[in-house]
Amino acid sequence: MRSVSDWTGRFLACSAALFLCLGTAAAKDLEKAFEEGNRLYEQGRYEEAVMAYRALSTNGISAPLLFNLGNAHFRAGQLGLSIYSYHRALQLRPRDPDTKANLRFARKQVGEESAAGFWDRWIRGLSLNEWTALASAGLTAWLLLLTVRQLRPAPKNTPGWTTRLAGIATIGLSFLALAAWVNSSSQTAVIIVPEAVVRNGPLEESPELIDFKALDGTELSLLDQKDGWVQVTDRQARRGWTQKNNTILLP
Amino acid sequence: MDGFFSHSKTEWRTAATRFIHAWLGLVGLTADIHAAEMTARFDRNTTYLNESVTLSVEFENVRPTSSPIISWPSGLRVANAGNSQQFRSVNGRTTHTFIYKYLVTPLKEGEFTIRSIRAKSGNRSLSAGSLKLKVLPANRRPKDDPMSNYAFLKLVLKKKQVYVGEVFPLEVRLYHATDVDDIQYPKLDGEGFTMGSFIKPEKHLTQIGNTRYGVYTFKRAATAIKAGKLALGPATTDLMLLQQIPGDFFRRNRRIPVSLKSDITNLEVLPLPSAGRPADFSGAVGQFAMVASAAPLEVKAGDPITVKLTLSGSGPIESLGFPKLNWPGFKSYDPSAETRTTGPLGLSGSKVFEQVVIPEDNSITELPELRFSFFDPQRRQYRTLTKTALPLKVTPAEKSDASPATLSGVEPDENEPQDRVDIVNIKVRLGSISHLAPPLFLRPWFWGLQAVPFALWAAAVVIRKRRDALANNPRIARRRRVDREVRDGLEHLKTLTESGQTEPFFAGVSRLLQEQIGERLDQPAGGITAGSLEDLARLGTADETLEQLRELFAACDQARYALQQSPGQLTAIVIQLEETLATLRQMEVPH
Repeated sequence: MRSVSDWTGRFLACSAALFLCLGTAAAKDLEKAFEEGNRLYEQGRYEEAVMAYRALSTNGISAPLLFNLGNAHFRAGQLGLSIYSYHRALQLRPRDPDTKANLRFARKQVGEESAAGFWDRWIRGLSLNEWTALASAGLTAWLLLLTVRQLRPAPKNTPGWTTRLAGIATIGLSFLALAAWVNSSSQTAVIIVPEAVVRNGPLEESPELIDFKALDGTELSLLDQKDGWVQVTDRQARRGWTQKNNTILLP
Repeated sequence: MDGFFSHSKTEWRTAATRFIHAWLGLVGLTADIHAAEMTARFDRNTTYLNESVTLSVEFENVRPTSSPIISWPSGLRVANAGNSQQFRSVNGRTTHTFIYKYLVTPLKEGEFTIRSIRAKSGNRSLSAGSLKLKVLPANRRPKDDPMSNYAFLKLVLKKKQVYVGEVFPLEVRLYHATDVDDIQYPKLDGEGFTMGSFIKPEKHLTQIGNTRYGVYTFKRAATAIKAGKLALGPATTDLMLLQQIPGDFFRRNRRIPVSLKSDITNLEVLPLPSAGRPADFSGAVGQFAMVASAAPLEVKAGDPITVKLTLSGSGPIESLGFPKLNWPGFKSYDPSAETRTTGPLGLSGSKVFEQVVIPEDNSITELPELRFSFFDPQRRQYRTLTKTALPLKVTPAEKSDASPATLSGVEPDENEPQDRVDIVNIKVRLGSISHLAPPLFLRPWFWGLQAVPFALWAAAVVIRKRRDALANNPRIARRRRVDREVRDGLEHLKTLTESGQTEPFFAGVSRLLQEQIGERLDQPAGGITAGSLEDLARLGTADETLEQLRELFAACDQARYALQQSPGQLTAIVIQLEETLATLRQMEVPH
């Protein structure tokens, strides 16, 4: 007669196998849905491809999914949404050359060169989580080395290694802080309508700013939000308000 | 001098006016003697939607002192068409008629009743009877309605036979013998045809028999998409015919809505022959010429070459496509195209393509030939235009052209071809799906994990400090050492009791006593004897403990001389020693 532990072990094994099968089946369904979106894209049915990719993204996102969604938006003439999707793909894979190339190409269609400066681009070369992991690794190595030196003081004093590791940990922490600040402080709003009207204030009655044109795909820095309006500024430091549904905000 | 000739001019004028009014009044009175009537009537009692009629209100032998008051029903648009007077004298009988006219246009179908038409003449009230007007739908105008003779529609095809895919022009001509207005673009459908839009119509005059017609010619292009004897039409259109209202002082027009329909025309559509169809034929039908060039012809592998192709001629220029390239070793992008059409229907012109191709390695020596095949409906055969292969010189790419993406901050952007003409194509693998999660540093478990090395280091610091404390306090160190030695020594004594080895046993007992007492008194262990018990007494050691210690020391002394002791005796000594040493360890001593 089998013991309780024996039955428990069998139950757990079966559950694990079932979970694995279900998980594998679910993954296959997602791949199929992705291929369907790709098929629609290759057939030139770009708007349907957009809808297919978006439906798939309700199950979660991946960098290739966001990249393909960006391409579908681009082909469908939705520059702003394509730029938005490329940005999100870069947040997951900051160094993907294809995504960078397509983002740059899309920006060229808008008539914009790269919006970020050298340091900003350098910071964004790693994702926030990668900077976090790097800083954490440096700090951990430093603390472990200190721990070992506490327990086994080395006969030859090697302060150099400790200092270097301390330096690496500090630098890593500093860049992490900078990356976090860059990420959180300057939120970007991308225009997603053919031409967004920009006004002096957050009211329909506010005068329109004639020389501030916000075309589809323009990337603006977000300054404030109020009552369905957003205050934005461009690289020429012009400021104005536009309706929030003219834009989409990068997370 | 008073008299007939003494009156002034003004007085004469006043008198003359009064005489004329009196005479007219006499005439009017005379006329009033005969029957005075007010009548109202439409020029016709039935009309069509939006087709105007005239309402006349007549006052015979009575002068109205105000305009008629008419209760117009809703659904009618009314305009004043003017007033007039008529004098008639027949057999000495004079009739004076005042006429008020109104132009009435019905805006909806149905039957309208004007219930009340009234007027005043002095103190008299006049009225006419009610009137009815019937309005029919505009499309119920009968075919032999004489109005349709004023305009008609004709569908004109210059060709009676076309091929599937061939674009041909057609015309819809509107002939009108009177002025027209509100002309709608004709509607023309035909199953098996696709139609372009009508262009702006041309106008000219023509004569058919004794009638001069104005002609509007509407042109469009059509393409047959299936073979067979197909029917085209009828073409239909709506317009307003303008007819001058008879007797209208202002010569205004009556607007008559008319719907026109042409006859149906049959067209024979021939299928494209299967015999002799080139493999690269993609459906173009017409007459075309091709000019092609490419530059540069000396490149490095990976550098772009622009192939320029111009197709010109007559046919569906807009829909021409760049020939499919099947060039191994070349990477290509979607071509750009610019179309210029000539002629009003755009059935001729040219289309210029620019296609970028990139040779991928330096083994390529030529740009392959370019072919464009089409069907010529005039020659009734397929034709293929060919641009022969061009020699190409491809040199190897420089190594620095391909540099991988690194984490050092060097952007791969610098190595991108500056003249990228399209986006990179989609990815074929989904990758691992994950849900959006907050950054690592916002997750509690991450900070829990960071605490681990920190806790380890803190523990190591504590351990190090304890070690340092021990190193700096020899008394504590000695105490710990003695405790360890006493513990180990007692274990050793227990084993000696079993073996009954008396001499090493008592040596061990003596050593342990010396170590423990020496540690308590902070004196070297070797100098401890039974006499040191007095120092212990001074420290406040209990008499009982001192007595135990004396006994143990005495036992050790006696053991040099005594006989072998039994294991039981030795065990009792171990027990006594253990208790005594434990009591000593618990004793408070000065540090």
